[in-house]
Amino acid sequence: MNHAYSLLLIVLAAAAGLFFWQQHRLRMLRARVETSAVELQRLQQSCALLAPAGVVERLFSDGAESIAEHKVFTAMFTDLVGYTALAERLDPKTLAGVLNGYFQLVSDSVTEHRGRVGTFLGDGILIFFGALEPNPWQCDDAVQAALAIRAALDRYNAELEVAGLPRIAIGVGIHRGPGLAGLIGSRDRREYTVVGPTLNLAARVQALTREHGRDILLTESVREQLDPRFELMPMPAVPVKGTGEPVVTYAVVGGREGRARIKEEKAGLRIEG
Amino acid sequence: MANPLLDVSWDQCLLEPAPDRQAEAALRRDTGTAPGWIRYFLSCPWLPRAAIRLGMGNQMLVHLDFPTADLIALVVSQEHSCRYCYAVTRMQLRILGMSEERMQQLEQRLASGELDPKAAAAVRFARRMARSTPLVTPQDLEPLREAEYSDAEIREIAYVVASISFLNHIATIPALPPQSWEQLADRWFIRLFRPLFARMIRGMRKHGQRASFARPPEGPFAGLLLQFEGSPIGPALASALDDLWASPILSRHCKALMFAVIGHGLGCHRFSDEVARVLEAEGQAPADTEKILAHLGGPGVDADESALLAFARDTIWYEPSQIQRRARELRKRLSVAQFVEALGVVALANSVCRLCAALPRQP
Repeated sequence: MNHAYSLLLIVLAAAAGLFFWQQHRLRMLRARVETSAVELQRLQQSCALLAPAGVVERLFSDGAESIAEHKVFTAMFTDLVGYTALAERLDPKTLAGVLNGYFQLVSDSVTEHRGRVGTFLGDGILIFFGALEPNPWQCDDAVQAALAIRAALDRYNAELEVAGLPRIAIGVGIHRGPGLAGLIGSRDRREYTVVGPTLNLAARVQALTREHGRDILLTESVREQLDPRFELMPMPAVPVKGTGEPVVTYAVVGGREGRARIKEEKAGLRIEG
Repeated sequence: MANPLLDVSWDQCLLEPAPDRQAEAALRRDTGTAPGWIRYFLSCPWLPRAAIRLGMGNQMLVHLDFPTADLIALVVSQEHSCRYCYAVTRMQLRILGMSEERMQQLEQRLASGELDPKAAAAVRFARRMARSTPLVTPQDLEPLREAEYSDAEIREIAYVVASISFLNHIATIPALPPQSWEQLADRWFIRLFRPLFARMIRGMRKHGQRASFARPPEGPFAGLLLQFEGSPIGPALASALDDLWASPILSRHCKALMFAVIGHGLGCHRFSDEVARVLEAEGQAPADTEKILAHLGGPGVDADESALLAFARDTIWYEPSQIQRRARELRKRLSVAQFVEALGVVALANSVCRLCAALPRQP
């Protein structure tokens, strides 16, 4: 009899042990699922900074291959003028500090005007407007951003001078046209970006800033869409590699507020002081 | 995982609550309630009235169940990173009996998509409609039909998204302080009297009755309003729009241009066509409208109006901290009443535009 009771107790103890062990495993599993859900949410939120929310959802549901579409967007290419000379004059640590300051001011100005920094290419920066979200005001935004970069660079140069460092100058090229937007890259590394001849022409227009002695140049396709209140100056047409005909560009002289102010002053509407 | 929006950076509130006994009593007579938050908006009488009338607590829903409407409210507020509205919905659910643990489980299921298929379809649609890129289309209603929602329920789902989006805009842009709501459900007096508060909330959250328009809508957005024929939503939305146009704080012309900017930015032709008619009635030549929309300024638009148009454009897609900073700049150049009316205009325009885009045009 005692033997039977002992056996029953052992079976009951084993069943209870099994039950609690299963409960423990279930709790652990639930905790892991919850942690994964939180991580997934964080990952989705992080990805949303790099690509539109719809693209992130499609990436999670359909995979990277499904994400590619043609878009009309505005590309801006900025580059440091005289980087080689600057690199020769400064020690690496100081040079890195100067460069980081320049990258930051461009980034801030672009974000403020609804652009997205696409890629850092050495001392150059590729920027998109209207590539991620539809933006009917993309040309105005791009030129406003370029003017904001110009103003921020003036302030930055004043700081560099105080620190006994050389001033820096940049060239900005802006062009609007079609491109392929999508997750592009190798099997191991991809990024949401735009590719196509629009980018090449923006880069070549940027190179023309040296030839014309102007810091911001834009093409005819940008001018057509641009607010006429921006002050532009036409530049002579110049042959550019990769295009059949010479490219007409316009230098950006001033913003739309400037022209409005001049107009008001001419009309005697503005009272200073 | 506590409230997932707690990390969202939130500016100091741009508005001061301004109690006004007379206005609050009038509002109570009109809508049956005058909650504390309306004191931020009393300088523009139509806005608090619209915010109360268009809310889910005002017996707007006839067919849709409240748990689905609550899920949508959470998801839309999450999409818009509206800490204020998210905290209010979360607090209501806690008071209605959902424990913090169950609340967190619900938030995790929302994040991971582990919901029952019917609720998941509603949540996916709500996210789709709340976003500006790409704009929602009538085709996005198909999964809701497949999930066996009736046409009346689908219209109400779209309405709940629009209504929460409206509240999100008026709470996020002026940065209404969310902190008190975020902590309210855990306060001792709420815990002590929870059954009583739960009863009050349940009392407010009743299903509405069928309702008809006092007179058939004829003006702008009549086509959209008629899609809500028989529902209390139609008359409430019509009254909010009528009050917006009639309010003298900002000119009707300026408000119509703000609507037009939002329609243009979101790329909704149906909405833009309706606004074009308002502008034509205001004597605005279509060619001038085109010029103004192209560069957010131009013929007949002064500097303040131009700033309002740029602000309207900023509300289409935003990060809370960015829009709050821009709203602060706009606030400096406008009176309180003008600023509050501008909030209401952009909030209603964003919501109505999404409704126009989501619901199919009736023959």
